[in-house]
Parts: sequence; structure tokens; C-alpha cells
Amino acid sequence: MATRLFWVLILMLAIGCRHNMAQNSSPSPKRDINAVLADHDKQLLTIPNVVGVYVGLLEDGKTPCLKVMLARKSADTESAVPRSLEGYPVVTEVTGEIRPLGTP
Amino acid sequence: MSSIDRFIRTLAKTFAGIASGIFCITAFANPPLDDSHPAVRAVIAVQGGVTPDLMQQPEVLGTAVGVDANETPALLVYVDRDANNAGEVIRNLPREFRGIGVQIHLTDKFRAFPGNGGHGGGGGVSHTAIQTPPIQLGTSGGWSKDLANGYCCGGTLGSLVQIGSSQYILSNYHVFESDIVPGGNNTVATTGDPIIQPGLIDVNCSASSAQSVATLLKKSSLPNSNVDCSIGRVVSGKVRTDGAILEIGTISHLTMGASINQGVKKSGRTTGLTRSSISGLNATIRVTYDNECAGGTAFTKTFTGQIVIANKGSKFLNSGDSGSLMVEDIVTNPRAVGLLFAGSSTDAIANPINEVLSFLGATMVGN
Repeated sequence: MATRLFWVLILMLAIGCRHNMAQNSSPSPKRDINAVLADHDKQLLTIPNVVGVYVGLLEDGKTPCLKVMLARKSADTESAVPRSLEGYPVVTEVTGEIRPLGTP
Repeated sequence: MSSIDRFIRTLAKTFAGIASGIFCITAFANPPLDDSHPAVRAVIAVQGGVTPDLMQQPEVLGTAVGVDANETPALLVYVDRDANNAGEVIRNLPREFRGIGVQIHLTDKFRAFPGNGGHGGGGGVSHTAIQTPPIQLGTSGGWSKDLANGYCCGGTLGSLVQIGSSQYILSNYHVFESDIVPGGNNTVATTGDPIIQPGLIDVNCSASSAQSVATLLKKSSLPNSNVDCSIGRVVSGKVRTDGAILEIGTISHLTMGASINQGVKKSGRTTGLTRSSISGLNATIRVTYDNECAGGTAFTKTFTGQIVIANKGSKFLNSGDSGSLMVEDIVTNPRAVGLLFAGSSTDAIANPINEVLSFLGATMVGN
């Protein structure tokens, strides 16, 4: 009887710990990506060679990310741009200068 | 054979004869107009003799055998509608050759169509030619004095908007009014200046070869606001009042917000009708503006909240397409999504249309 009770207690303890661990490891919700962009866009635009930043999707077509537009390919710029911001991936994209499209 | 059988046989023969006669009469009265028809052969004979001389005139693009209003075979003469002296050429053409009537057709230049016209500029519609008023939008146009420093500039007369009871052509600030220094041409854009179609870039920089379709109403959207827009008040009779856009037709008076992967299309001066999809939202973009055509830097503007559209190889939007209206990619009465104004060889940028309309106090002209 005591042995049985012992093992029941061990089992209950194990279940309780697992539940608690699960609660502690669930990620906290991320801020809206637009708010993240608004808080970081000006800073990103101070990086030389950065001409724009926008909310896009990763190549999977589903995962929101921040895209940083570069005037030209540059290792220095790549290293200066963070890989993520507040949990959102940051991806660089060489676009060239963005210019008005009247002629010439 | 019984008398009834004979009667029936006789009756059948009679009806067959009548039917054949009717057929023969009909065939004789309306023979097909193929190249065995005597009247068609007569036109062909004349065509062969006169076409070489006619096509010595560069304004004459070709001849063919057709029919006149009475369905009588006639000689068709195709005249280039873009030719400056098309009217004179038409007046000098004889109305008949050796008894064969002449029918004149004004047409765009004939061109070979690529197998896939999806990248715009095809379909036989010219976005750069001078149009017979009232014009459709999605065409070449610009400020009549946009000539400085050895270059002339222009863009697209993109769409029609309404403010109060008046209609205005919508384009970009940098297409209509960005000449803000006397600089190389000793003038600046001023309210009341003519807006022309086509733009100077498509009439060898000569405004006299274009037509005034609107008058500039300076709004000075840049550098202080978040939109690159400008308008010209239409000259009565010069612009389609339904706001029809070349290769798009009429649009909705409603607008819609942008969403990623949304299919969009536009009609513009350089690439014509093109399609793409929205690849980004809420863009913060830095764009540098000149102070006149081929002039120095006026200012660098940082826009926020802009729409990004895939533009690989500049196939969706290229230089000269500025001012085009971007609409949802549906056939009937599409809603406006953005005003295209900038880009690179990978991405095009548009102002959200509601911001443009809010700045102007305008609504889209449409159904």
C-alpha cells in the first residue's frame, strides 16, 4: 500500500513538473511587425548603403520578415544589418537606388 | 407504279427543282467575296498597279482589298495616324483609281507582336502616340515646359480624379511640377501651365507637336507630405470623362488597401499594360529628387508606409511609367490600389491611393 502510494506521489510530481516546464518554455507573443519596423526603420536607414526597409515574407511565402533594401552588395553593410529584430527575421535585398521613374 | 407513287415522285422532283433554282439564284446574287470574285479581282488588279507608288509616301503603311459601306469591294489604304501630316496625305489621296473606290483607314504603325505580350507595350495599343481627343489615360504626358539642360522629361498621365465638380488628371509631382529652379530653362512649373499629351519625350521635345489636355494645378506635395502626386485640371473635351485608361478601361470609383501577394496591374507610357504582385508593405524608402529635368539634387525624401511591388528587370515599371495608377488585377471596374512613382530594377514603389486622395481631397473617377 505504501509502495503504491509512493509511486502515485512520484507520478503526480512528475506530471506537475512537466506542466510547469511547458508553461515556462512557451514563447511570449511578439509585437506587431509593423510596430517593430516603426521603431527601427530610421536606425536601419542610417546604415550606409541602406535605401529602404519594409514588411515582407520569407521565401516560404508565409513567414513575415523585415526586408532591408541595399543600393549595392556590400559585406560591410551585411554585417551591420541585424539578423533579427524582436524575433522577426531580417533579410537584406540588393535593389539598387530607388529613384523617381519619370524620364530620362 | 401506282398513280399515287407517280404523284409523289413528281411532287418530289418539282420541289427539288425549285430548291435548286432558289440556291442558284441566291448563289448568283451573293457570291462569296473571295479572290475568284470578279469585283475582288478588279480591285486586286488596281492594287498591284498603284501600291508601289502609294507606299513611296512614308505616311502610307499599306494597302488591302476590303469593302466600302455598301459592301462593294474597294481598295483600302492604311495611313499612319501618328504622322504629323496625316490629314494632308488623306486629302491628297484620290477617291478612286480606275473606277475602283478607295477607303482610307487611319491606323497605328504595324508591328510584329512578340509571342508573349505579358510584359506590356503590346496588344497594338500605343501609349506614346498623340490621341484623338477625348483621350484615354495611361498615356505619355507631362509638363509642357519640361525641357532643360539638354534633355526633355515626362511621364504618364495615369488616371482621372474628381474634386468637387471638376475633373483632374492625376500623375506625380516629379512629372508635373518638380521644376522648382529657373536653372537650365529659366522657368519653373506654375499653376496654369499646359499639361500635354504625349509628353515632350515622345514628340522630339517639341510641345507644338503635342496637344494641351489639362492645366497644371500646383499642389507641392513634396518635399513636405508623404505622397508624390500632382494634378492638372482637364481642358473641356480633351479627356474621356469616364476616366477610361488604355488597355484597362473604366475603373471603380472605390479604392482598396494593399496586401502581400495581391495581383495588380497598371497602364503606363513605357511598358504599357503590365502585371505583377505586391511583395511588401509599410515600406520606409529614401528617394532623391532633382530640381528640374536633368538638373541637380533638390532634396532627398524619406517616405513611410509605401507599397512595394515585384519589378524584376523593370518589366512592371520603368522610366517614363511614373504617374501610372496601380489597380487590382481584375477585368471589370478594378479598384485603385496605389500611385506608382519610383523604383529600381527589382522593386517598384507606390503611394497608397487613399493617402493620395486624402492629400488632394479627391475621389477616383469611375463606376
